[in-house]
Amino acid sequence: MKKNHTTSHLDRLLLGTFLSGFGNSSLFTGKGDLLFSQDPDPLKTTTSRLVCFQLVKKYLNLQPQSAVICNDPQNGGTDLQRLFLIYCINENLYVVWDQTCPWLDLKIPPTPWLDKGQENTAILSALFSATKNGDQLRAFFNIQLLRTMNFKKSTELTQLFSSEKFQKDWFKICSQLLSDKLKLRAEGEIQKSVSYKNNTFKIRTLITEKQQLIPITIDFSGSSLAQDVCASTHIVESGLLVELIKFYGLEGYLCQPLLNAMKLILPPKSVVAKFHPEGLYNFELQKLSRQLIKQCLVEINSFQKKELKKKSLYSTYFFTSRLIQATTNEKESFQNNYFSNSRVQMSDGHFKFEKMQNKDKGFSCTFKPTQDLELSFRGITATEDQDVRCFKLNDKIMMTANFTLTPKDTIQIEWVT
Amino acid sequence: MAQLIMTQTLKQEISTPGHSTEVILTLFIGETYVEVGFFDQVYITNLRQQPQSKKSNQPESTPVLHSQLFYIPHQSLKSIFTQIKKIIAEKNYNLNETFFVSRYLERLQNFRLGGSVAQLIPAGFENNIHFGNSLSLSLANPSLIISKAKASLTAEELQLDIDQIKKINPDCDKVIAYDFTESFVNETLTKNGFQVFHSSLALKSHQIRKTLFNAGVSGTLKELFAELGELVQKNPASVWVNGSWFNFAEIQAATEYPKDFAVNMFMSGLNFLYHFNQRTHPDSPTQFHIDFDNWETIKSTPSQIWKSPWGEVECVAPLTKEPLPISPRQEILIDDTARLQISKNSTSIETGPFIAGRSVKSVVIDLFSDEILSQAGLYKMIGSPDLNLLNAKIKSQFKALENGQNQETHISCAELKNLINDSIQTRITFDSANCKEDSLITGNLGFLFNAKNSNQEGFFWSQSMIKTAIIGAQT
Repeated sequence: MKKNHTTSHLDRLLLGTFLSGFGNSSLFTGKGDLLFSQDPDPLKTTTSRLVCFQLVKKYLNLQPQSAVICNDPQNGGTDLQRLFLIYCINENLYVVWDQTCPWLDLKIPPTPWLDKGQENTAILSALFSATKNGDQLRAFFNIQLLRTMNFKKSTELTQLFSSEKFQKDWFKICSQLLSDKLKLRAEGEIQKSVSYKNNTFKIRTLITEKQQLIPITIDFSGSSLAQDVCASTHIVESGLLVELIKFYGLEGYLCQPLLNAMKLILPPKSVVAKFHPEGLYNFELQKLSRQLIKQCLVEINSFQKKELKKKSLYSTYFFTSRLIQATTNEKESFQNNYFSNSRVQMSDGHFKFEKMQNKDKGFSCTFKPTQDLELSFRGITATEDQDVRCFKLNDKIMMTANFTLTPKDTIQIEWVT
Repeated sequence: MAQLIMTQTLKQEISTPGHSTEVILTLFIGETYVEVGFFDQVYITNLRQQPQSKKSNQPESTPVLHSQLFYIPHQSLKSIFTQIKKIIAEKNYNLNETFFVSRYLERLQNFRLGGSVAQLIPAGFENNIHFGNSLSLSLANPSLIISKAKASLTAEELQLDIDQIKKINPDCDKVIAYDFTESFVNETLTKNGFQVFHSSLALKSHQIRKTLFNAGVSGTLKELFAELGELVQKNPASVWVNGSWFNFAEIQAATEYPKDFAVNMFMSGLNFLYHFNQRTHPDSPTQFHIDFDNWETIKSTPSQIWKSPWGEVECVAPLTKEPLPISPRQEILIDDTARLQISKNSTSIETGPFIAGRSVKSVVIDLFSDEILSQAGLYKMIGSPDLNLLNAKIKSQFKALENGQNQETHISCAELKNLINDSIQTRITFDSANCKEDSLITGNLGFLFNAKNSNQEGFFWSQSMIKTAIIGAQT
């Protein structure tokens, strides 16, 4: 690597490589600004990582090569099974990543994991013994520890991204890029309203190029107050961010200037601003908000106004399966599966498909577990859902819940397209 | 190191006018290039007769009579085979034995398969085959489904459906029969010129997909083997399949390919590379392959499911290739804000990179034109007669890309090249961290990324294939 590196917009390649292998992850500067972020998982968590990082930075003095873990849905987390790891590379550079950890079943407030590169054995032992999946958890943490080794291997990139000059230049480049991209698209304001599960979601999107104003405003004022159905602001915001950068072609440039260019109004205690202790609606409401903002952006940039297809909003199932006779191989023993009107993502290992049929309005799929497994099903929470989608266990309609299944059980999923 | 071996091997060409030389041919067919090597059969036979321990200690480089690279987008595969025959005739070679490794089928990975594959499915189960991941490429054409009640099906009824299918796609010549084992079904389908594959809906999806995959690639495989058969005639030939040399005569004699053959043939080249790594660097599980077609990390997968571009497919020993952060065929372009960018996706194989002479798009590999064109073998493969003109064209293209940018955000192509270099090297360093810092880089462009942690060696398919032929497949 050259000594006099000139920062350019193509440094996104280096930043991406620096975090390769991390999945959902972000880099933060010592001042707490977002330097780079990526979200390859279907659940987007950029702002959740930001919240976790800010919390840790405020209350814990993280030393270089030290790390903290947390999963509390009330404080930046999404659900207990997603662990956030905050690692201090040096005082000017932090990395935060999150990873689904199906073996976790207890709340972890911000807790020291690494101290100057050494694992906090007392904390980890307590954690492993507190759950029946201690061996799997141990393997999980070993993989995470291995990931942090990369930063020691690449001292040049670490130095580059830690330097204040690079950070300042990068923010300037991204800010200019955003400004150029906004100029290429229309400005305007649009409002949408949709009713979903007895809640009203109102969204007002304003895109402006006036210098004194923040260029992007997204306002959820007027949305219903949260009752059963709700998700945290950071869950909704992460989804909105992803759609915005996708629409403006800014993938690889999600950083602080982009966050600063967005004003988000999510009324407290509303359906889009209240955490759910189990994160039951995270995926669903993030998908919904992404659909809403995408629709708004498309309409601002188009002459044709289209009504939202209500049916397409009832789109998402999400279920995780975990083998009971689990191995320590995380990928083999744990699977995430997704269903929506536009997409199916289902792995073969845990299930055997029996039948898939065309019904009057959609599809019906029947399958059986190949081994004993635990199934955590998300996405169907109200009886009204059953008109458009339906989850049956041994011919009985079921709602969002956790199940223990054997190969004798039959699962059926029906959905309308 | 890589350049040195190539120069040495070219210098070692031996011409023996008037006398025919008994030769062994090594033939590698990649996605876009073919590498051939002719070796002295007597010399190789002597080496083969040595004790195993001595054979294993032989240097990786074996003297070659003639070696050559061909670039597929410049000519058809058939024409390349004709040229190989021409070399044999001109040099008065007598072909004794052939060793064949292929990555040719990997060029299918961006395409839907099953365009000429019909499916005979019990009524009511037509949609089963679509299940899995909807982002995967299709393995079957839904308009070529014959859906029939199993109990009441007659030959006449089936014939009517076949006629219908032939109207939709006259080239449709393969059919998968799900749970239809009756002899009249097989007879009727065969009579109509179909190659029949059997599967069952009771199987798991990845097993069903394997049959679909077998049928989908069988046409390409057949063409490939027909050419190979014509080249080797009745001489012994071996194909690298799943960790060993498979007798080509058995493939030719068989009415249908052995179980798992198509999947294993798809992985022939990857498997060979993996095997090469196991043999030469048993302590380094991570392997990088950098050639004209792919810049990738090769890893073996513990499960028996291959996550293919067409969904999960059953496979005995699947290997996965993870692309490095940059691919050789990603386009370099000016984006809508007048900034230099690298495209998200790779360009198609045709018309090839700018350095190959016919393209109008600059791709990543063109940035390394100086290094690539200075390699005698690679330059000969690309085959431009006028090197100065080609260099001038490439420079002009990059000049246009530099001048087309917004001056405030200007970045030179040399800087972009440095960035790509840094990015690839960082990734190699990261991935090598897990394996004692001695990962292996193979591929004819491996010399481009001489990462400080990598034990880089010159790799040529011909050399590695002949070495494997000498010592046997066992590691």
